[in-house]
Amino acid sequence: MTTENASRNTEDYLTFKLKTQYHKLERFLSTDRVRQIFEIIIILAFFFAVLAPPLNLLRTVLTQWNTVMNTVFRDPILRDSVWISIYKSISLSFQIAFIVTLIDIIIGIPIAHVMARYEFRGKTAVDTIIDLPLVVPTSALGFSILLFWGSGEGLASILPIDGGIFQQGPMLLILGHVAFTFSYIVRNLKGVIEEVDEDIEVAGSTLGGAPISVWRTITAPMAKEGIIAGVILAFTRSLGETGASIILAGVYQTAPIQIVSFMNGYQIPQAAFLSLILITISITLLSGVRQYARIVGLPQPYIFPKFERLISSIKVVRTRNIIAWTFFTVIVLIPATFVAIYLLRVLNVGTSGRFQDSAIYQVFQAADNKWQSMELALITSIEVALIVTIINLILGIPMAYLLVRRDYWGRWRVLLDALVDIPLVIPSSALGFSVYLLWGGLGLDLVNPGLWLIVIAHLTFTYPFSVRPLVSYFENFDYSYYEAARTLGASDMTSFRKVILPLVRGGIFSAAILTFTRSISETGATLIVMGTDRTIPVYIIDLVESEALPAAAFAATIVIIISFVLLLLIRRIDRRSV
Amino acid sequence: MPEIVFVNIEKRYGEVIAVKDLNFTIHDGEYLGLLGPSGCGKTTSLRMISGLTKPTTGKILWNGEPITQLDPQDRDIGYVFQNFAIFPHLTIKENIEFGPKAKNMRPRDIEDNVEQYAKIVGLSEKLDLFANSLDAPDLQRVGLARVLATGAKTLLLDEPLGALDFKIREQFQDELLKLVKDLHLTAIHVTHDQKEAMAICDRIGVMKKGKMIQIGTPNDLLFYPTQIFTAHFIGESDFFEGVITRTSETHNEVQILSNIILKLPIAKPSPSLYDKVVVGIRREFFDLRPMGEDESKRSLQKNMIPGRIISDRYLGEKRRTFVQLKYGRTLEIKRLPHAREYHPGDQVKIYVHPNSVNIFNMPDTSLDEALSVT
Repeated sequence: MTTENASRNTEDYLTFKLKTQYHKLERFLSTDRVRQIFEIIIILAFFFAVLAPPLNLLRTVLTQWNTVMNTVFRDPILRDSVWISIYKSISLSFQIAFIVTLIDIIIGIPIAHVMARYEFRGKTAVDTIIDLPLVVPTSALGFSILLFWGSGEGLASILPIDGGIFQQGPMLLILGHVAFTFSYIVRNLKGVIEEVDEDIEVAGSTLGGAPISVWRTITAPMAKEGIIAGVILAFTRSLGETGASIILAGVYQTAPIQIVSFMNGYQIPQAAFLSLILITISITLLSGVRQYARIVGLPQPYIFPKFERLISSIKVVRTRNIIAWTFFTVIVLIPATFVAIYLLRVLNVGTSGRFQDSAIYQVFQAADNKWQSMELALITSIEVALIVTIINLILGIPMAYLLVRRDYWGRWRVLLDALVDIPLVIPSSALGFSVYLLWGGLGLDLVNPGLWLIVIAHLTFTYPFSVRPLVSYFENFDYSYYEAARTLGASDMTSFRKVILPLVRGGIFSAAILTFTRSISETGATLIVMGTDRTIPVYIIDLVESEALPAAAFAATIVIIISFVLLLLIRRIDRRSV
Repeated sequence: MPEIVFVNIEKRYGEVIAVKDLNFTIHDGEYLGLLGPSGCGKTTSLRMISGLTKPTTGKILWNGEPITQLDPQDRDIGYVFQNFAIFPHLTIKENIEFGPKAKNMRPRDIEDNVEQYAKIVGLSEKLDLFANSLDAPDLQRVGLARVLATGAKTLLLDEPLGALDFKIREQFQDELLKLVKDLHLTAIHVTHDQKEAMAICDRIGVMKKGKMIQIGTPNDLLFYPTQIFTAHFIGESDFFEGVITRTSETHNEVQILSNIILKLPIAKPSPSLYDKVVVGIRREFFDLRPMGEDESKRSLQKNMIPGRIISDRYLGEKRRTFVQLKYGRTLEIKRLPHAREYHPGDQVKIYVHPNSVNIFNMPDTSLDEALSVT
């Protein structure tokens, strides 16, 4: 034998020794004791990241109840005027959320149906566009809508109207909220309709049911849970949205905006009180609707053959579809992307004809050097989003696996499963405020407002976005692969690492990108915890407030493009993994 | 030299009992079948041998050593899945290497093992392919090679042919049996297909509702079933409730269907006079004869049942004849395809071969209950 061969032998032997050590380590990590300790750590992390802030908020309000009473209800000078303004803002938020959800449902159902059941050219493109508002920062979206409806640059410029069509206020808030909640309804509905076997619908119509009757009595009941999930999501998103609302509200105040303004005035008791009310209402609403939906059958079981046949006729359906799509185009599509058109118009020359009013000048050449601060905000945003994504994946993968597979947690698992979703429905500004209250100077005093507090706040509200996609991947996973690995001699840990993880990588990517986009587009919580740091959505708001509209359009277009690329990535992964 | 013993095994999922009172031995080098309707606990038993499921109470012995609480990775037992479970993200070679690597074999041995077993199952050419480019039989060959490469001498086969095309199955049965016998493996094969079990197993355990009903060679189960359910599930039998009307040194007489007398050789354990019994007769062992004109008026001969033809059709390799008995019941009889053809309405007599009849004690519950598969 040659020396070369001998050296390869030793090399073989060394890697073998190394692997043996690693092998032993994984075996050790797979023992019940170690695994359970690890899982307890994961649950504790979830507790501190997600549950502790709202609980601490509750504790604070209860222990400082007198202060709250004295500032909100019995102020020596203002008396109960704080309470009245809180009441007004909450009621405005609810009215808007209610109207928005209603519009979403009416227009969303026909569109979701078309998207689920028909094939047409360009469907993928339309589908992508419908999803776009899910990932674009709402402040960019809100700004775009303000430009279209509320300024002389938009729709008003082709109509003989001076200034905007609508003033900032409830009407613009509704238009803006419809634009970014619409996707939740359509996406959810489309998903559940697709899951209903088309043959069942066909069976219904061959038995004589008009399409509407079939949809109402067969498809809708089967898709009930999904429809309700979509409605809850759209409603809570509208209720808790901050970024677009700040831009569109003008002198009006929605509840999340009011939290931000309380915080800006350092009115802590008022902010705490309002946050607690919002969180309580959201959670009650969520659990209430879920309970109610389980008990009550959603649609009417009766069929009205004549009437339903009439409104199922081709003409009516066609008219309905045309109205829905026109609405989608005019209310959602064009206003949401108008900022790019506006940017092209003001790129080199301002609307007044002066170079000083152009986007290029404002961003790159003006004395205040906006590009530098824009770049900084962009980097901060990406930094935060990356850190948040990595941490949440590390916490989220074991949590999702625990929720799906670890039966021995029994009832705890059911409870955890419900608790994970809480950040989905809580207004992010209320959540951001609780995070500040827990970690900041008034609480544990561990993290000051700034980059790291932004990270913590984002960890909190993106948590469900990293766990949920993984849960659905783990649920659909064929565990005979895992069992095969176990019987072939691999420990629990080894099997997870070498078989399960590679096969759910699609889920990991979707979770990562969802978390990333959520983090990069969030405004409400960030406004409260950011200190002197700024993320890009907040920066857009600042630009709009300082009336540097071309520069704002420039920033908004950049983030829309980034979001669009991320969205394409998500869709690619989703399609491949199906 | 593996020998696996089940001692008082019981598995419960909450309130539901999956298997109960399991006591049996799987001998070294044996090909054992576990047969039964779905939900009878056969797969649960198999999973308990592999360690994927742990029994609630009882012990499993492996060469006398209890392995009940051992994790799957610490047992030298291979598991072959119905849906193959070939890792889709690995090549065939990597699939086969997975076990030896997980068991931390030396690199040299891993290479040898892969080569050897890929050759045995005939996959040497396809080692670099992925699972999605292989057909079902090849996937199951990978499943086998993958298990054998770990050095396991015991194979657990969970409906291994269930996902294969009907025509391929018989060929694969032979392949499987040859592999197990050539390599001196011990195999436990779960199936609900009695023909498959009869074709390859040395012994078969018939299970129902989580219990082992009878365990024995295919021949035993077919000709000497000790339980009504065995006779019902293995082969097709018809059952009649009856009463012992006469006993002698060599024969018992049983009265069924109110006035038909069957004269049968003594069975063990022999029932005593006036005992209520159940008589099982296999469908292939009825003999049909045309009834003469005057014959029907005379008193009936022993072992003869009069009846009228309802239908008589070809059914592939068998002829399937339905006969309406005088006493209301309809009997299905299987005959050879070239047997005499009858027409609906023909009067016939059915001759029962005494040696093909099994007598069982009347079950504590009803006969229907004893026959039901769930």
